[in-house]
Amino acid sequence: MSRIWAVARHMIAEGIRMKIALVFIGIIVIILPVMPFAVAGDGVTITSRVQSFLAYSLGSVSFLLSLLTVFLSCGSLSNEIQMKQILMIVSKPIPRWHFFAGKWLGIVVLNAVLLLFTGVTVWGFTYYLKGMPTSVADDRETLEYEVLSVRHGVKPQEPDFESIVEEKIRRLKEEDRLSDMAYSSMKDIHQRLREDLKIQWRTFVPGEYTGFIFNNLMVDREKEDYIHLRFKPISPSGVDDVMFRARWMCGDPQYPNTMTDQNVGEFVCERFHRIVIPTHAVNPKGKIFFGKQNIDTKETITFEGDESFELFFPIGSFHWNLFRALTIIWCRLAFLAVMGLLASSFLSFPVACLACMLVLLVASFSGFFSQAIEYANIAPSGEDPLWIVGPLLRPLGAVFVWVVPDFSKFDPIGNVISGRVVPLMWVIQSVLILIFIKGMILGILGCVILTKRELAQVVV
Amino acid sequence: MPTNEPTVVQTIGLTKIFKDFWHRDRVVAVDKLDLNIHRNQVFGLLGPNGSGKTTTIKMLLGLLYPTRGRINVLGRAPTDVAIKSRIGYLPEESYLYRFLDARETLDYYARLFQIPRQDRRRRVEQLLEMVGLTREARRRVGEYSKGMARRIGLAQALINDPDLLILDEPTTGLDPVGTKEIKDLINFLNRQKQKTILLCSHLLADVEDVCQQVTVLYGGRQQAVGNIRELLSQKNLTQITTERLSDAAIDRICKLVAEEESKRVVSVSTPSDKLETFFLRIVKRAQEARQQTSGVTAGGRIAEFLATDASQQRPEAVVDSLIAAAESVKTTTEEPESTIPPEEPAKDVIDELLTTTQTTDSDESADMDQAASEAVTDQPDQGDREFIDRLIKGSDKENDDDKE
Ligand SMILES: Nc1ncnc2c1ncn2[C@@H]1O[C@H](COP(=O)(O)OP(=O)(O)O)[C@@H](O)[C@H]1O
Ligand SMILES: [Mg+2]
Repeated sequence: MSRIWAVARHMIAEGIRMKIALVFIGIIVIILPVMPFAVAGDGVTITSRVQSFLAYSLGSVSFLLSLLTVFLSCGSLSNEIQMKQILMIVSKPIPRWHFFAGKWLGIVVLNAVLLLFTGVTVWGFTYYLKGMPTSVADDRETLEYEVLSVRHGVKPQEPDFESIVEEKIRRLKEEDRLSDMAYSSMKDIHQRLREDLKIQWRTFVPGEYTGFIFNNLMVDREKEDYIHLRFKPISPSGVDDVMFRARWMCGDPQYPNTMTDQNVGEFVCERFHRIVIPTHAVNPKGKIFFGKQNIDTKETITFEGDESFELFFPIGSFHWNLFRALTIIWCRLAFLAVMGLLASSFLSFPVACLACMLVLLVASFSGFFSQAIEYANIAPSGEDPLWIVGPLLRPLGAVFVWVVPDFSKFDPIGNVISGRVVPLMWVIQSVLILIFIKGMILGILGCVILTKRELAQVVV
Repeated sequence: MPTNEPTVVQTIGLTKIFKDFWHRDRVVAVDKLDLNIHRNQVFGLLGPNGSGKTTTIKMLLGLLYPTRGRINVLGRAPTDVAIKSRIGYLPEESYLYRFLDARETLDYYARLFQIPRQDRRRRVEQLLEMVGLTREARRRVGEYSKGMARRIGLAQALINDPDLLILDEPTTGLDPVGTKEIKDLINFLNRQKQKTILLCSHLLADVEDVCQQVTVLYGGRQQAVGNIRELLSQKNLTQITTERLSDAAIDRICKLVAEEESKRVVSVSTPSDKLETFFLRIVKRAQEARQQTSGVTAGGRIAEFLATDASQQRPEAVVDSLIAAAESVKTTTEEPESTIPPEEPAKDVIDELLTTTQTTDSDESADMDQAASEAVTDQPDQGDREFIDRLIKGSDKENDDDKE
C-alpha cells in the first residue's frame, strides 16, 4: 500500500509541476471568479443569474477537468514508458499493478482536491450573488426556493391506465373496430391509447375538476413549513400568454386537520408557477390530496411532460447537494482516469489521447449509440448495410457501449441548478458503476496488459 | 579464483530474437548464452556496441522476455517481484524524472523499497554525499549534466544496499574522478561486503580493474569466458619498474639480460605522468581550495549504511542458503552453503590489489599513486626472484649516483 501511495504522490507532483496541470488549474482559478460577473442570466433577476453562473461554472470545470484527466492519465504513463523511466520503477520490488493503481490514485486525488476547491468557490460566489441588489419583488425568495433550498420532486400518482386501456381494447374488439385504428401492431395501438389517456388526464377543459395524489412525502408535519407545487400550464390553442383562473384545495378528508382553505388564482400559460402548501396538509402516511378545478369559462389548459406538474418538498441544503453532485462528477473523472491509463498502457500518447477523446464523446452520447446498435439488430437482415462485417462488428460495438458508461446518466449539474436533490442513491450508484464495476474492469485489463508487456521493447 | 559460492545468476541457452512488426525475426540480440555468476563475484560482461549486453541485463530483470532459454536470478524467475528488493540496477542511461530534484528522486525510489522514513532520510543524505551532489541536491534533475544524472542513477541503484548490483556501463559519462570512485566502490562492495556485481561495459580498462570473471560477447554470442587473470596473463614477459635510470645503466642492464638469460629487452620507456593521475590531482586541489562549482563536489566517501559491517546485518543469509539449496537440487554438485564467509582482513585486500597490479601492464599500475612512488613493491614469482636480485645489485652504483 505504501508503494501505491508513493507512486500516487509522485503522480500528484507530476500533475502539479508539469505545466499542463498548471494551465488547467490556472484556467479554473481565473474562470471561477470571473464567471459571476460575466454571466447575466436574463439580466433582471438574481435567480437566473445564479442559475446561469452554476451552469457555466460547473459545466466548464467538469469539462476542463475531463480534459485534464485524459491528458494527465494518458501522458503520464505512456511518457514514462516511452522515456523508459518505467524501467527503473519495475526493476524495484513493486508489482506493476501497484504502479498502475498508484497512478490512478494520484490523478483521482488531484481531481478531488480541484473539485473541492471548485465546490468551495462556487458555493461562495453563489451566496455572494444572492446578496446582490435586485429590483424584482420576491426575487431573493424565489432564489431561496428554487435553487438554494434543495428539494425533492414528486410526480402525481397516475391512475391505473393499464386496465382502462385493456378495457377499451376489449370493447373495440367486440365492436370489431380495431382495424379502424391506423396502426400496424397491437403494441402500437396499446401505446397510442395510453398516451391519449395520459393527455386527457392532464388536460382541464373549462369547469373540469381533477384530484391528484402525491405519495411518499417525507416531511415533518409538526414543523411549520411549506411544500410547493410547481407547474407550467400550456394552452392547447398554442396562443401565447393565455390567462386562466383556477381553484384548488388540498388535504385528506379522513384527517380533518389536514384540510386547507380553498384558493383561487390567475395564471399565465407558458410560465412556471408555484403554489405554496403548508406541511400540515400532508397526512400522517406521507400522502397529500390535491384537487384542482379549471374555473375559466373558455380556456382549456394542459400540462406537457412530466416536469411540468410536480410537488416539491425541502430535503437538504445547497452545500450538501453541491457536494454530492461534485462527487458524481468525480466518479466520472475517476472512470476517465482508468480509461486513460488503460489506453496508455499499450498506446503512445497521441493515440491514447485520441482514443480517450473518442470514448469521452461516445460516453456523452452513449444513449444515441446504444439505440443505434439496438436498431441495427432488429433491422431486417436483408437490408443490413454492413451485411458481412455487421454481425461481427455489432457484438463488439455492444460490448463497447456496455463498458463505456452513459455519461448523461451521471450528470448532476442540472439538478444543482434547478435546486433538485442529488439523491444519495445516485451517488452510490455512480461510485459502484463508474469505479467498482466499469472502472475496475478497465483497470484490471490495464494491469494485465502492463504486466504482460515487455516494457523495454521500443515504442514508436 | 575458483569458487564454491552459490550461483546468484544463471542462464541456460538464453536467446533473444527481436521481431519486426510482421513478427519476422529481425535481430538475434542474444544467442544461446550460458552465464554463471557466483556470489561475491565481480562479473564483467564485455563486448562492442550492439553485442547484446544490455539486452541480456534487461532479460535478467524481467524487462524483456527471453525468446528461448532459462533464467534464474537469486533462485527465482526474473519476473518475480520479491527478488527485486535485493537487486540494484543502473541502466545504460539514467532515466530520471526531470521535474524532481535529486533528493526527491532518491526518496521516491527508496519509498518503492518501503524503506522506513528515518532510514530513508539517512540513506538519501549519505548517498548524495557519496556521489558528491549534496550541494546540488535542490536542483531539478532535468538540469543535470549527463554525468551528474549518472551519479544519481548510481546512488539510486545502491539505496536498498543490494546483494546483487547490476551496472550497465556505469562509467559512461562520468569524469575520471567518478570513474575511479565507482571502481573503488565496486571493489569495496565486493571485498568488504561480499556483494555480487554484474558489470557490463565496453571500456576495457574499467573491467580490468575490478572484474574477476569476464565473458566476452560478440553478436550476442559468447566468445570467451573465464577468470580475468588467466585470460590476460602474458607468461613470456617480465616488467620491472625502477626510479629513473641513466642511459648507461639501461645499456648495461640490456647487456646483462642478454648475457644471463640470452633474452631481448623489448622496450624501455619513461612513462609520463598519466593524464588520469594528473587530472585527479588537479581536481583534488580545487576541491580542497573549495572553489565554486555547480557540478559535483568531493564525494567518494562510501555511504555509511553501505559500509556497516556485513556480518552483522545479513538476515539474507537464510535466503542465500535457500538459494544454495535450490542450486544443489539442480546441479547436485555443490554443498548448500549456509555459513557466512569470514570478512577478509584489510591486509589481504591490499595484497590482492598489488597482485592485480603486477599482472596488468605498466599503464595501469601507474594509476595507483602510491604504487608509482614506492618503486618496486611487486612480489614476483620465486623463479624470477634471483634474477632480479642480481640485477639490482649490478646497478647499485648507478642508483647511488642518481640519488646524490
Ligand atoms: N527493443 C529492441 N528492438 C529491436 N532491436 C533491439 C532492441 N534492443 C536492442 N536491439 C538490438 O539488439 C542488439 C543488441 O543490443 P544491446 O543489447 O543494446 O547492445 P549493447 O551490447 O551495446 O548493450 C543490437 O543490434 C540492437 O539493435
Ligand atoms: Mg548497452
